[in-house]
Amino acid sequence: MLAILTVGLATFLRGLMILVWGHDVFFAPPLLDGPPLRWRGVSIARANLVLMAASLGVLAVLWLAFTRTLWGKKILAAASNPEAAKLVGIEPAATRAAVFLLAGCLAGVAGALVAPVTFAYSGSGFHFMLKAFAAALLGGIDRFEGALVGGLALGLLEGFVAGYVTSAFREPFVLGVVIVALMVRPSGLLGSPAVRIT
Amino acid sequence: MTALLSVRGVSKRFGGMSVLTNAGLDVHAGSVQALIGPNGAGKTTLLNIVSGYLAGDTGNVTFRGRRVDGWSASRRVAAGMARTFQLVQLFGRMTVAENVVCGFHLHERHSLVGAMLRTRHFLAEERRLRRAADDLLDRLGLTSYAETAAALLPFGLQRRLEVARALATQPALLLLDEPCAGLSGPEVQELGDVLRRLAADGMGLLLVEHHMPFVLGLADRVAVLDAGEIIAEGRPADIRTNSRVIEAYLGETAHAPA
Amino acid sequence: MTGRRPSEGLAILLLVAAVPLATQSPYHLTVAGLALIFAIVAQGANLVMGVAGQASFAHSAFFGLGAYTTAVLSGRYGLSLVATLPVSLVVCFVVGFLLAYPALRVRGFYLALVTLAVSEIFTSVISQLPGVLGGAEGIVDVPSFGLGGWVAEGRLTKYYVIWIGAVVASVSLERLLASQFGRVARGIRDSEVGATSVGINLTRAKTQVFAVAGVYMGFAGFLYAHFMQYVSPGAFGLNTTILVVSMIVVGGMGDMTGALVGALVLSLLPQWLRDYVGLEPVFFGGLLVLILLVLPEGLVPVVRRTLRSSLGRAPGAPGGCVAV
Repeated sequence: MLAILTVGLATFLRGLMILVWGHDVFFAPPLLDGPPLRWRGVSIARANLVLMAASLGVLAVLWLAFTRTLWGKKILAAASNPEAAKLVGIEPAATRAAVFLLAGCLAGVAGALVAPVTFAYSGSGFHFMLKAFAAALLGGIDRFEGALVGGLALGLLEGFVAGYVTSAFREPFVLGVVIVALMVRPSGLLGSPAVRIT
Repeated sequence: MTALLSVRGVSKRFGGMSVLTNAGLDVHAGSVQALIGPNGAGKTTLLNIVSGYLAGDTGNVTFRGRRVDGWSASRRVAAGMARTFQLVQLFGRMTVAENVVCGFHLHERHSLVGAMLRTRHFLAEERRLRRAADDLLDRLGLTSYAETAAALLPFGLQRRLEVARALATQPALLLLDEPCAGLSGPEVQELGDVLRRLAADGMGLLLVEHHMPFVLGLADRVAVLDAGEIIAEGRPADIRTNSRVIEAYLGETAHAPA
Repeated sequence: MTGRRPSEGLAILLLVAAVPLATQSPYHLTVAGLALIFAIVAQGANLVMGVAGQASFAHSAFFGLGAYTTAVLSGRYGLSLVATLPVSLVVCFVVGFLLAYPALRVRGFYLALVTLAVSEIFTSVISQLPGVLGGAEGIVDVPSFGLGGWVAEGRLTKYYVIWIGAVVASVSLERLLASQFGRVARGIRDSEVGATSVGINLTRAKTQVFAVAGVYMGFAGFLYAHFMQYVSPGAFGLNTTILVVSMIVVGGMGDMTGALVGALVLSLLPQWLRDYVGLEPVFFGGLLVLILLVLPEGLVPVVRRTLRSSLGRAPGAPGGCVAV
């Protein structure tokens, strides 16, 4: 039910965006001007460096927040056992709201960072969301490092497939690989497998 | 007489924790075998391994003369092994009657085409199932609740419904996981009567329970599990006075032997 | 649950059959025909999501698979519909069967993602293959319904062909649900462990459910292709899946009549929005959220209960499983 509710919300927001900006496609200026950096024959666009730095930075902050601060631990506690959390004075509804807010902000930041590199229109959210979920699930959804590993794996895979297998069908191909991977190992690359009992 | 169910040498570890060590027991047709022990002893784990919801690390389970290790839980049901659960696993959104009809799943003959065309055969079969379900409901005193959604039943009746549904699978062996938990005195009495009759009719029962008077009054044999090991096995009267058993329960608020 | 339950779906469809009495404009008939087609998709999707409780979001892929299979075979290769119909249905059956395997490995949110990915794969592949599959522009020369020498000319005839299809689909699905098949589907929704404990094999159960649902949605796709005589990838993407899910939720998830009513309502309502172009996502998204928050059961169960109690009868469990 919650999943469908959020789908409804997303559709509603997308509708608002269409009302404000229409179906036009927008291009944002690059994050950093200047020629790409060269290092040992490899060329790296400056903007991509910003993206990598930002990803690592966000990951570091999140990791610190959830493992070193009380705020983060409260959230993990409420997620693990809402009833027990209530008994020690944590309000699961509040932590859930906080996480939703945080996730939304992170998604927004990600969108802003990525917009200069690709383009932006009202439907771009879904496209990236699918890849983002795939990356998160592939890496293992119960750990932050999972998202990083999954993202890297997905990106590398897409690059290799585009270069050596098929360029036009790289996205369906990569999605197919992710599906197979999840079926073989539902908990993802880094996730801990769940024990199936009654 | 060969046992209906024979469990030998079952061990199970969860991570670093050893939950069962070399556990084994027998259940004979027409008798009630109880499995008791302090909380955390591994009783439900053993039951899960016997019924196929969990795989043991070592050991084997023989049912009706055949090794069932590696068999899926539903395959064991087809072979005649039914069970109830500590937390009831009813079909909450279906009615009480529908839950029991589902229990006949393995004993009904249907075709998709017959259902779509509403053939006479299909309708006759549905009627037969409904009658059989009503019969079971009557045996367990649930007739007046037949059209109630299962989730709305009071707890004690939910447990009884689960027994009814398990019986619908026409088992030779019935495994019960703490069927008395949450039941009132009279309800416990009624359950005992039902189970006694089932055993008298030839069914084998494996009963995991904490309720001592219930166990001691119903069981033909009692096995005691403590920290994953069977520490005693025998008739109820002998188990009551067994020093190792008493020691295992020391400090527990178990019902004192009457 | 005793006594022959009259088919609610049939009753509603009989009303819909009367639409041409009110209007014969091609536009209105197209809208009504599409509403019926979506009713079939919604009911198939409801089987998987509502009745069996599987978080599958691949509905538009089955719809599209059925549509494209028949469009390619009849439009590009000239096969008669007598051949393309079974082929479309078999293709959807097989794909549905295969899609059950992810459902055995992952659940809920994870399964939603996997099925979304499958749907995306389908749309991408379809759009990227020009030539036979028409690429992004689709296939434009799909023939109308025809059998032997007869061809369905005109919107009215095509509308009634669709209507017959909707009746067959709706009644057959209702009857299926009132049998062992329905019990198994609801069993795996209510409690997989409980289902196992009565001997239901989860693999068989899920493959059956996904395959059968796929067939119904593919059938709707078949009808769509020959009704519109045109297929394109745009009609079978995420928007369509969301639309179908909205129909099920608004009508009442798990309730076949609910899926039917939800489809009719959500197909016809946007006609009033025609003056406010571009409002669809806002409207659908908002409606979905509103219904989930205010009336999560959906319209039909609530209406049915109100009607029953006002008629003095005790509310029974809807979607009865034992047909007596």
